[in-house]
Amino acid sequence: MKKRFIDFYLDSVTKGGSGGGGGTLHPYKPVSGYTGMPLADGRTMTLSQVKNRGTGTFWYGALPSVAPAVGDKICFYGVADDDGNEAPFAVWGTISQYNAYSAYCYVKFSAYDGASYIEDGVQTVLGGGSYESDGGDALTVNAVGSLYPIKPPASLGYKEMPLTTGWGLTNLKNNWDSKNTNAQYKTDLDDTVASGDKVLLIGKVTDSGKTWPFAMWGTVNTTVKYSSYMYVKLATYDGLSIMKLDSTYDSMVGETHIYENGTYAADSGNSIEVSVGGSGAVSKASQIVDRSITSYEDNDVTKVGSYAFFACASLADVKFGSATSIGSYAFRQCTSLVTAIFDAVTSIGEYAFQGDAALESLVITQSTRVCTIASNSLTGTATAKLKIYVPDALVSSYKSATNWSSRASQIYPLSDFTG
Amino acid sequence: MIKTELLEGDLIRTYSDAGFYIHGGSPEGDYSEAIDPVSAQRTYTETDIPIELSDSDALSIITNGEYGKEGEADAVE
Repeated sequence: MKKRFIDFYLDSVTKGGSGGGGGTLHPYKPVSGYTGMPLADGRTMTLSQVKNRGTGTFWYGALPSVAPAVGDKICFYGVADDDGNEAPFAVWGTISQYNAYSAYCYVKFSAYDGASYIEDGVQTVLGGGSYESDGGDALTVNAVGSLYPIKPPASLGYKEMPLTTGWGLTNLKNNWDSKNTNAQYKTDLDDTVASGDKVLLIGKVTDSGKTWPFAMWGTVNTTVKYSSYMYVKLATYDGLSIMKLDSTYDSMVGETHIYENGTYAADSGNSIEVSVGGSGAVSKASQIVDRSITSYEDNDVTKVGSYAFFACASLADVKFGSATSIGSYAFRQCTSLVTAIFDAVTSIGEYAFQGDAALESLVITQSTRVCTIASNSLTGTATAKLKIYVPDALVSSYKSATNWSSRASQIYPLSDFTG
Repeated sequence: MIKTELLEGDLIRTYSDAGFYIHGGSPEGDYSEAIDPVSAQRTYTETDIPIELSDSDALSIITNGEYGKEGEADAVE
């Protein structure tokens, strides 16, 4: 069997066996509710069997110490043969048949509850739930979905190039934000790639010990080629998608940030249309907004994600009726933002309004409690210009609250707001 | 360790010199740093949650991407 090392995303074994990351090739499996059954030594299952998951398929397992009964929940896992390559997988569901022989057993499933498999370095998880791998990784998938990063359609002609080194989230975003033409992206050698080509870089990004997939696409500036690998510098950055983490960075939620206009799709068949483009990170993809918008109002979104409106330079006013939190950098460098109204917000993240020098009115109407704010959330706003309106009954509380106290002179009762 | 420093306007800044979030304040929560009226006499405890900006990230930002980047270190064969 041909050995193929698999890298990327939730696993970090490096191509070519050069080490790296202490990762794992273990597929994700349900956290609880299923009895594990590994593939029997010397037996083979194919990736197509994993994908098809027929009720007539025999799954050849190692003999268990306790025989399962019909109706039991089993998680069957192993490494499938994918046309000569290895494809770690797990399938789980309810068994309809069990037979034991001297060295192995088999089970058949009457119903499959889910599956995961790693194909070409990408792990797909089918079925909502909480998962973990033997590598200690954890994952939550809110709905049926996959861990493929969203990518531009093939028709746009971006040549896919897997990256062989990971990136830190901050560095990657800095490159994107600054359109850094000097950043070097290490990939496997591809002699056909040259300046001016359109490339789609697929890699993993890490932050605080967490790893998740991203795709970034643009036009090649220059390349530096060696015997087995190469570096690519981009002349243009056309798009970036990063799988979204939840606010605690503890789990993926199967969402994707999209940073530019267009219609995108994942290899899994998931697709997302971003008709007005945007900066991503709002909780629902359909509510990602155009960077050129001048006004935005939403009463459904419950969380304004990090970077959601980053650098929307024409945005003059926003109003959120249900958002309870504002993520880091959410309105950073919205240099035309004058009025921001929040009816439900209880927390404001780091640098949320940094550089918003035109901001005149920050309006918080929820009267349940004082909203938390980071010390740097309003850095770069104009102290003489910005007025912060809060419910009349909470004015004194705000004036003495943590990180609001330094702006006590800017805090006014909501009844004074005339906007 | 928790550190404090007095600021203008009878305010006090509290932070972790080890780069961790601190917990406390009003409203109670985790803060990368906290600025309070001295008179409030608020206390904080150091959490084990690191503030996410790493030295490498900071260096990269400070130098506008010239240093501190990942993926550039081994471009020599």
